[in-house]
Amino acid sequence: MSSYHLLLPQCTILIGVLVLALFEIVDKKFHHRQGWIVHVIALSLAFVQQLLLYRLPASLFVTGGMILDGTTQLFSLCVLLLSILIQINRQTEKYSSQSQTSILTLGVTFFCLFAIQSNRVLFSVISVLGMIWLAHGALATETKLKEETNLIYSGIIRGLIFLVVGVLLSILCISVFGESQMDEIQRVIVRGRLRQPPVFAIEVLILFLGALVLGVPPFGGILGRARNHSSWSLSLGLTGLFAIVGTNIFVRWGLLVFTRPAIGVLELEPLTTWNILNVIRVISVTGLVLTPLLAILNKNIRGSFLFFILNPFVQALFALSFGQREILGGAIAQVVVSVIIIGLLISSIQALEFSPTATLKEWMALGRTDMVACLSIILALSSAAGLAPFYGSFLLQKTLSINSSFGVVLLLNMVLSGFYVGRLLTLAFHGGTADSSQPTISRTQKMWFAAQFIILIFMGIFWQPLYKYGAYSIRQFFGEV
Amino acid sequence: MGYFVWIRSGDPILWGGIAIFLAMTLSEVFEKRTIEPFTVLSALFFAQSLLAQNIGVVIICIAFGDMFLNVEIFSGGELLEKNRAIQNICRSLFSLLPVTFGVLLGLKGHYFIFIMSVTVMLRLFSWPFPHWISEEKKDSAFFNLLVSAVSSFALWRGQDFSTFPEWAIIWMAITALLSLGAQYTEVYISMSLGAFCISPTYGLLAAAMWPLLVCRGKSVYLVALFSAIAGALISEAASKVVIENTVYVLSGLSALILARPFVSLKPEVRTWLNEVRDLLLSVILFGLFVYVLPIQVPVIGPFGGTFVGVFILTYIIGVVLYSKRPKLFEPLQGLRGPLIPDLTEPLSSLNEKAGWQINLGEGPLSVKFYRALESESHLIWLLGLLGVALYWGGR
Amino acid sequence: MRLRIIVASVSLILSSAIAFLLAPSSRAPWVIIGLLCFGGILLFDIYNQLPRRWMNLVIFLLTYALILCAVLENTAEAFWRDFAGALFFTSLLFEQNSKPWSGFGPLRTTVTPALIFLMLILAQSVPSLPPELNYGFSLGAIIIAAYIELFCIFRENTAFNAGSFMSALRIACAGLGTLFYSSVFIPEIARQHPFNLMNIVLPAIAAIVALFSIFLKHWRRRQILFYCNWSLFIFWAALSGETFRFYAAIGALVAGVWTIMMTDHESANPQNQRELYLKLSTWGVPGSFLFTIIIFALSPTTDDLVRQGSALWLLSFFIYWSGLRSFVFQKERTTSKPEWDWRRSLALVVTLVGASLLAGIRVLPGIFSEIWNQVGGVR
Repeated sequence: MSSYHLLLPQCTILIGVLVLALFEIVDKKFHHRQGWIVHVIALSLAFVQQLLLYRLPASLFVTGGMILDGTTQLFSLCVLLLSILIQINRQTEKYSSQSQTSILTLGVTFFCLFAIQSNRVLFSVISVLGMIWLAHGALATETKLKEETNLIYSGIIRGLIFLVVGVLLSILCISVFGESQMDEIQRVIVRGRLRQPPVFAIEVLILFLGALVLGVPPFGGILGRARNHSSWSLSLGLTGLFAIVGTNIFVRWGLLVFTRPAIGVLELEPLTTWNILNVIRVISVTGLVLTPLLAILNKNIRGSFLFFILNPFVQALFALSFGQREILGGAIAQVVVSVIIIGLLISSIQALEFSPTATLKEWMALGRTDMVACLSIILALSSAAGLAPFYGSFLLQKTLSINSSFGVVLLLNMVLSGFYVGRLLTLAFHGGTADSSQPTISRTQKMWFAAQFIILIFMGIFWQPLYKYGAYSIRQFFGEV
Repeated sequence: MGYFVWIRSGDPILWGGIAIFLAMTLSEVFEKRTIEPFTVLSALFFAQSLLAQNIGVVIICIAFGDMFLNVEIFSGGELLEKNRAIQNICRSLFSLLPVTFGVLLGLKGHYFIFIMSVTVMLRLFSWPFPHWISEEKKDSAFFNLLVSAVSSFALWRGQDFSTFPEWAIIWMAITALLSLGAQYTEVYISMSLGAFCISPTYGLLAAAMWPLLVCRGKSVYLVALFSAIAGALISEAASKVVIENTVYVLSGLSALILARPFVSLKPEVRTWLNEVRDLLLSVILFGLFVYVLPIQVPVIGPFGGTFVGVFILTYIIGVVLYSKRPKLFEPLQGLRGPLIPDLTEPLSSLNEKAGWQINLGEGPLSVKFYRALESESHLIWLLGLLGVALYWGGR
Repeated sequence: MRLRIIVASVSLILSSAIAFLLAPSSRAPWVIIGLLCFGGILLFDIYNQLPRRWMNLVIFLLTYALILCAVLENTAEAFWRDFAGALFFTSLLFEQNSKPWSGFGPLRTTVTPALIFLMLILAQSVPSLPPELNYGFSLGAIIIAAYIELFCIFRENTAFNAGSFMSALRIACAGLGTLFYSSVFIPEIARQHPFNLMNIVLPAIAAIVALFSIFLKHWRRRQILFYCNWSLFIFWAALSGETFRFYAAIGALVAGVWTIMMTDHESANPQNQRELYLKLSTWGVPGSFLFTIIIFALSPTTDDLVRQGSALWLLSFFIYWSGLRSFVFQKERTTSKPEWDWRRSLALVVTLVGASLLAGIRVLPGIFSEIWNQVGGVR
């Protein structure tokens, strides 16, 4: 079979973009319903195709700079699933009637898949650049006209900054390794006899880009203020997409290139003198403290949520930084859980119709009027915090069982995250009139919340299949045990 | 009950107590002609406490007996009495607390007898702590006797005082002290228990007069006589364990104080038939015990004689003085108010109140900070940090 | 409302059946105990608090599912995780069904102790900790679980949590978790010095809380603390290591959960003696189900520490009973009360039967042991 079938999902998405563009040209008046249907069909088809591409046992396809192994497959599925969830929730979005938004959002997904499945640094940089510009464009279309120009300008600048660093990285890779293909770079490193300063520079750049795309505080800023005035689905959803891509950068460009499984032991060892695992750990530790802290200090609802949804990714990154096989699988599975969390959060917060400047004042006593939506948000955030019985608590237990002094920071993260969730939970039922429930959401919406919540809770209670799936995804790297 | 008694017929303490209880019940039934259902239940539990071998079971039966008595009070009374019936549950449980502690802690010997004495004091005497049952049903002494006499006997009879003979005189001294505010009935019941310390037989013989305390007719004067005899026996027994002079002093003082309540004794006015009936019950009991139990005829020596002499003398003088100075012979007032104070003004910090107000809005500094984090210049700063990191690494 | 009750009942029975079929023989009795507790909450819900909202039922069933998972787990870590999840959902229910209140949230909410519980159990995962510290964390977590409601005792309107299904749920979760832990996962050091002093320390804590309750004016808030102490009582009885006391602890769990649900929320009506009996029974006075359990659990023993602990428990119970010393009936006013229905009649019968179990004080432990073995054998 030709390896170009790897591009099937991307082609499907591209076709979706073309169809949407055709609708706009031919009909002159964009039909929101039609566009939504096409968008969802394109994403669903791509998801199914991506799922079918996963062959057992997992095979490595390296053709023309693309790769599809376990982790890539898993991250690709996460991206497509999150995109579907974003689009499903946009059905009721007031701002979703713009055709540009639909096309641009689909384009973000398109480039996202390339960013994850690309085996060459330069291709990934270009893909992420495309993601940044298209995301900014999509977010700008949902704001007021006078804001659009500023946001477009902001997006261009951010993209350029990323491009500069990315191009520098590509140049360094080619000059040092003679290659920009990941697996080839690793072979060169293994052979040794490299000057350390350039290799060090490459590692720093990779980690910088990974942190920037993931948005780990204080490295946030790729999307910036563009999310402040757009819809919840796009602001939260795009943050999630970038977080998945950022995690992929850490795993694919960082761990799987600059480390290898140690002989006789089920953990990774660094291939260079500069231990990349330690640096990832430092970055994640900073994120573990700052993510919930900034969420707590930010009284704006949107701002705090945008910080807090990164918490499961940061916890996963921390777990990954130890390089132990048993934890790696769990950490990668955490990304899958994060997708469901973001989906539930988007769907439930949309139902509450918060304004962009809503603070905790508007949140207060909300649970008494919109209990279902409010509780869904709280449960989603609890899952993001890693509270029991959700999946995150299992990962935290496994991570803490590693004999490391950094475990204290993880406990600190738990304290801060717990405080954040606890504050929201108590404020939700604070004051107000008891039993003044006036349901504002439909039965269908409630069923949708319930379905997502049930999946989330099942992932937490019956974590074994998810953990096995995550462990299986890195089997190709560690080999048979 | 009869079956259990028949099985344990070799144990006179067991069937003796039951016999006394039955006699008291008969006296009450004959007098009143009616008996309330919850009173019957209560009496059954008290009777069961007399039959139980295990001290824990005795305590449980007494607790249930108290409970049903309070149910009786509750079901028949006004709102005020209903309130008191509920409050009595706490007070009756409080009286059982010391002996329960003793059982749980596994105390033995002197320690256990001491802690049991505290319970008996709380259940028997209405001074200095007002007895909860003495405030109820003033026209029925049967209630009072169930709670005080029967339960005290049930607790007391299980102990072996033969190895602790000093408890007889100790108990008499306690009785004397508490008699300052107690009724004569309480004093006599207590002296019966004191006699039990010398010998269970003497205790039973003394308790044979308890049916007279139910209706308290003229025959109740006999109780005074038996008190004096009991005191004399105790004084004689005490001479074997305490030095002589001390016995004389204790006997004399005790007799002086113990005679006081009997001076203000006022028997109920009843028909001679009822009087004879009660007397007959006590005599039958007494005779039964004398016939069945092996009795050593007690010898009243100088110590006993001292007690009896002082007792009688005090009684006679008291009767003469009573008409002129009645207050000298009335019981002292006990403590008023609840045993555990009711805190009507709780600490203000423990009140249910509104908590601290919290600021839920965004401050200007916070807005600026987050805007800075979201701006492009933040990325420029990060680039600068990247440059520093690369430079440091390159070196 | 009826639909919700049916759905909840069917779900409860179904989950129990599945758990029972999947459980190994040693765990089957735990499933039954869980069904007794949670089924009792549903059965004796006199005021229909649970089916008032779908969310109440959903979270209730989830909590039950987590407890079932907890008692079927093979490792201590997994057990603690499920237990923490159940407590978190219980605290969620407390907040969801709370009356309006004000002030700084985290200091006056049940969520905070649920999170502290989670922290303590996560801390046990750190591998370099000595076993004594590990067990110390477990003890701390259990005490926190027992006293969750203490954190919100001064909040406005929390008095109305007394007799609520949330309180019963809290006792059920905390009780089942602590009993299971005491039976299956408790380390050997728990029976050695200095941890054997817990036989005194736990009742001492209860006595201090009981003394504190004297200062609380409202009887409902005292009752909340009474049942917090009851949770600790269950753990203490299980910790003593004696078989009959362990069975008494199981009885205490079931009795505590059922009795809370049978509590009448309104003020006592002196004319209705059945209601008054049920109301007094919630305090464990003689003649109640709880009193029977107290007698069983405080049975004589040869262990000095357990004896001293028993005495302290008696003291703490008496301090609560002393609340009756100033009991006053108000003049009767017309209040809207639910009618006396079959549930209340059942509650009355259960309480009377529970009280009469005292007659079988000698034979019941043997019977219970036989039942325990048979249930495991059936599975």
